[in-house]
Amino acid sequence: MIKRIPTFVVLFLCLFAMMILSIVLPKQTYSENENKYLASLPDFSLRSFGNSSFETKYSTYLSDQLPGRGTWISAKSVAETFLLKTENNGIAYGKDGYMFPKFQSYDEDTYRDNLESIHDLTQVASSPVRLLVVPSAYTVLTDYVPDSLPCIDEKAALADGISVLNGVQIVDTWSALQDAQHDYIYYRTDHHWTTYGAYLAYLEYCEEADLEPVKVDFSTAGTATGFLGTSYSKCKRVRTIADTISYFPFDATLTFDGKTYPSIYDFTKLTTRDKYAMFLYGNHAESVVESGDGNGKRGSLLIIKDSYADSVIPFLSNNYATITCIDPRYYLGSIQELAKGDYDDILLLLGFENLSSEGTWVKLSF
Amino acid sequence: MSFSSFVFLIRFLPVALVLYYLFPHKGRNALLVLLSLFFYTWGDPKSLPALLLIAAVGYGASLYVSKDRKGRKAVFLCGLLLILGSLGFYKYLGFFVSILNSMILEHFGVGITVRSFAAPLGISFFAFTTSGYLIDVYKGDTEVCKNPIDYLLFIAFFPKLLMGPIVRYQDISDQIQNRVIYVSQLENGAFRFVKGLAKKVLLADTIAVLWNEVSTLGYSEVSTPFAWLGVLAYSFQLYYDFSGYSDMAIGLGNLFGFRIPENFRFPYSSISATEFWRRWHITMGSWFKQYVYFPLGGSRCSKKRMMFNTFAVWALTGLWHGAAWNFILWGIFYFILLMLEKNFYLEFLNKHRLIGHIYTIFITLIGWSIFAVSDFPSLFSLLQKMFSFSGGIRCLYSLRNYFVLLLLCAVFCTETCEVLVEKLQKKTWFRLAATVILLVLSIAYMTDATYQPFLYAQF
Repeated sequence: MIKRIPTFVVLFLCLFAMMILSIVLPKQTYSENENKYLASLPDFSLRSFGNSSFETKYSTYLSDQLPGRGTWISAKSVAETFLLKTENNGIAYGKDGYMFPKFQSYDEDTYRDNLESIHDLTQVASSPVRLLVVPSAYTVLTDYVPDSLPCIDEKAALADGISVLNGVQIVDTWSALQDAQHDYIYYRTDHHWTTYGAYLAYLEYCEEADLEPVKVDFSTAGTATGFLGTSYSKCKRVRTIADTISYFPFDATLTFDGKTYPSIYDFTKLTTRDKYAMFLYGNHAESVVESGDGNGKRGSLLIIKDSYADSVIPFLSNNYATITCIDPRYYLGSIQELAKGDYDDILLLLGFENLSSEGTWVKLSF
Repeated sequence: MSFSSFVFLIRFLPVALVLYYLFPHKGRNALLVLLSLFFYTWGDPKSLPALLLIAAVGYGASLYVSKDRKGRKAVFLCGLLLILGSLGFYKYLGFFVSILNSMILEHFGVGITVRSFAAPLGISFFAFTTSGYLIDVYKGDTEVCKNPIDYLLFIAFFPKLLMGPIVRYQDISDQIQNRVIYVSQLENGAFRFVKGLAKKVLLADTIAVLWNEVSTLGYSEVSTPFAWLGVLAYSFQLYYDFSGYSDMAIGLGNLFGFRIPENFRFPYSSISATEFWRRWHITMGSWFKQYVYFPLGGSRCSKKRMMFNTFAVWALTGLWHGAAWNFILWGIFYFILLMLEKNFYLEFLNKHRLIGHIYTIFITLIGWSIFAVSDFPSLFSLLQKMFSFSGGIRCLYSLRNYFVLLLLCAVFCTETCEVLVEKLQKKTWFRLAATVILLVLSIAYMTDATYQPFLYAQF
């Protein structure tokens, strides 16, 4: 029987069937997993065909709308496992279910420009400026990282970089984090640190800024399970240990885009893929956390940050009545003007990868 | 469009096959020409005129020189000059002007700036096809093709248009005019195409990541073994990319009833550079031999002249691969090796096969490192790293991550394995299973290559 099946007919039917399916199946508009809107059929015009933009868009449309796209991607991840690969799509698999995004290069110029901008900001700021750079998980979790994973030496690069800064107090979290590396301080499936990791950094900050840290008991923290983060989204590993998010219900309100929310946590995010966005409702240009005056509390903190800060700010709300959070990627005003404002402290909190690779931090010079 | 794209796989190819086999025999060549021109235009819409113009020059000139007419030689030379001149204009003008500037004009404080044109897709291949044909007609080595549709099909047949194999008219003229399609040919074609697709998508593109990693980390940052590992990965990438493409071209040719000549015969199993070049990119090698080496006098002349001829061939071969010094250097590297082998140790290598294999792998890796890196300071730091036996970022992780893939790459490029696959694919169950499995895997990897979750907003 099998002898009578011609291969070329099978090949043709496979391709033909894929074509028909990709034409008739309903199109998707949004992919939550990829966090993007999927391409739709582009409009044809001779002009767009002539300058290749139609061809490019059509190719994206075809691959975005490919029947069973998610399944194909997972199938590739499985195939990589059969090849005994220890990574997929740039995510290295460590011990104990940890996933590490490989960070292999950054633009020296961008890094230097960012550092100079930080320096500029300190010169005009009217309050003390502290810098807390969050190390990538692979530099801290040395017991979990695959042996000799080829990545850049963040610690050395940071030491090099901050040597040019003066007038900035460095909050060094490295050794505190490294000492606690067995205590689940980074998520396994996401690049962020866990609430406990954030708490350790918070303790270091309090010491540097001479604050009395809030005492918390992690065994009583609220938890949300089933978190599959950014690293998982990229590598789609077959057997993945999902993460658990902890949070403390501190009494504070959050204001952004002209609206005030009674809690700093957005629990509706827990039903979506991006569960980390529950902290401070995700990324915003400017948001303000208010917790009222209290015993020994300082008045105000200006924090210029990326999303690593989102899990630190809840703790800080116990030490400052008002925290103004600025995300320079989205903030359009002058950050220098802001820094001249009447704050008790200014904190820059961001990941090293962000500091060395993202051009947006030059906004600190303006 | 690339063969390993969804536009080709699940749009162009099935539609082309349906149209082709539903069409009456008489119109099939015209249909293939239209399909080929569409295929070309999709990939590079602005260059269709260049393709047609070069083809037209070849057509007109070959018709004229096919008979003993007045000014035959002048027309031939003009035609040749126009075809190769346009190749030079698009591909090398910027390069030569920069040489002129840096070597001469700079000393006088002047410089020429030229507008650089993007070279039309595949121009190196179709300009060679056209000029080779014109020379053949002029020399009477082949019949002239009078039918413009048949001629255009010969020049622009989409499976081989962009990346070869470079076909000579005499090899394919029968099939253009009158072809019988056998089931066995379709069977081979289907398997061959998917095999090529898998070589490109599953092996070349995946092992390429390892080489890219070495480039990203920096040649001076990695350790010596890591640098060698990177170059090894690059060598596999080149082979599986190019021979996979040739497999796809040959397979597609079969699916439309054509037999396109072989381009690779397990080159990494060679025991000398001389043998390597009989097995790597065969149709290009024979083009240079046929149209450069022999006309210059080949080896039937004085030893000095023969040296020069060989040198010319290899400098041009290098240059053909790209307009940069490293490609010329790479060509000269092979010229030196071939001369050394011919005059000193080719016999020895032929007798001591194991040494020959090790030697060939070694020089091939060095050759590909020259080929891989276009700017000289980087090339220098790569070569320095390869031969300095120094430390740096260790390769242990990458070796562990890639060892199965490297092993597969090493096995599939051997003669033994190719022969085995050829034997097995005669069995229906194997051909069927291999085709389906490789196709499924290739689609999975192709889909994943387009998968870039937009997650940076989360930092």
